Amino acid sequence: MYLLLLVGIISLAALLSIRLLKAQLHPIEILSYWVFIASIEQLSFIIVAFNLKKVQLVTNHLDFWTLKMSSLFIIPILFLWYLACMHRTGFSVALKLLLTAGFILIFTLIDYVYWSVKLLVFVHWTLWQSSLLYLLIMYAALCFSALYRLLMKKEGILT
Amino acid sequence: MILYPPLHFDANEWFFITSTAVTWSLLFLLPKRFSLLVVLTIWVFNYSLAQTADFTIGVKPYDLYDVNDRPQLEIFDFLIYFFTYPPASYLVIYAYDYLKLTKVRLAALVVFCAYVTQMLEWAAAKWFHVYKYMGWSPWYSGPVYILVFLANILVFRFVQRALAGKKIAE
Repeated sequence: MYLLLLVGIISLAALLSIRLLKAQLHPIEILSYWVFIASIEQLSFIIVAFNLKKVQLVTNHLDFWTLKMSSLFIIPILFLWYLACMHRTGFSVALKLLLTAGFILIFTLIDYVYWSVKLLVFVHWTLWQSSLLYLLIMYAALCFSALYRLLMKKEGILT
Repeated sequence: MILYPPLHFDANEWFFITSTAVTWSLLFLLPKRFSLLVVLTIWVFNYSLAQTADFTIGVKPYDLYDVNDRPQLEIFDFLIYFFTYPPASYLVIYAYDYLKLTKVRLAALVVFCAYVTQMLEWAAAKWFHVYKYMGWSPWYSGPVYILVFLANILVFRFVQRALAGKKIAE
């Protein structure tokens, strides 16, 4: 119950942080990247847990909603921050690589916290694999945002 | 397996192919109305909405229904999210934008589209075994479709407003 409350508060803080993102990303970019990342993250979790059976699914309602809130709010909004950093022209390549590593560490730490409180029960899964999965999601998000920005440029929204 | 193939290639797969072909034909027959950016945004939103709903109430602890042959995620489940659901919402948005309805008529359009979708879902479950209900009923889907189509119209309006307004520098 306390964990659900904590994740709820963090989700709310993440939602409030979107106001700050508006300086870097267009409102429709925020919407599109958010729903894209949330769906990719959920899809990868369902494949790992349900099809590959490498992570045990939670059956408790509170635990389920804790993970669901994280999948719908915390992870996608953190990814939005990552994409905002990647699109900043003032950042050097080295800094962007460092930020990529930093964000992967944050995502893996989130999984570590869920694993340590038994929200995630790894069957044939390790935190290294979690890191790799987040790297793949990052790559998919970067590809999607590159395509999206290309279309925005064509329509004159991105100058 | 990452994505399971169907157990048998039968009625549910043919229903998916036929319904997708019909909606896509409609999509291509209608004159172009929206930019690729708007279409992509609508598409991703609907893909995400359908998948989030199925991955919330279609899995444990709720597990109210299964899609297609297996409880696990199949290739055809994924194809349905990507190719079948988004065009339905696209057509509703197209009608909304084309007809420029008053609030009452818009409400009637949304209810009518939700009813048609609910009936299609019922037929898909009863005759083509696309859905296997384990606590869900197609009657619950009607109000859900109303919310889905309203959400789509709100998102479309948001996108239109956002595109007309703010420009950002790269």
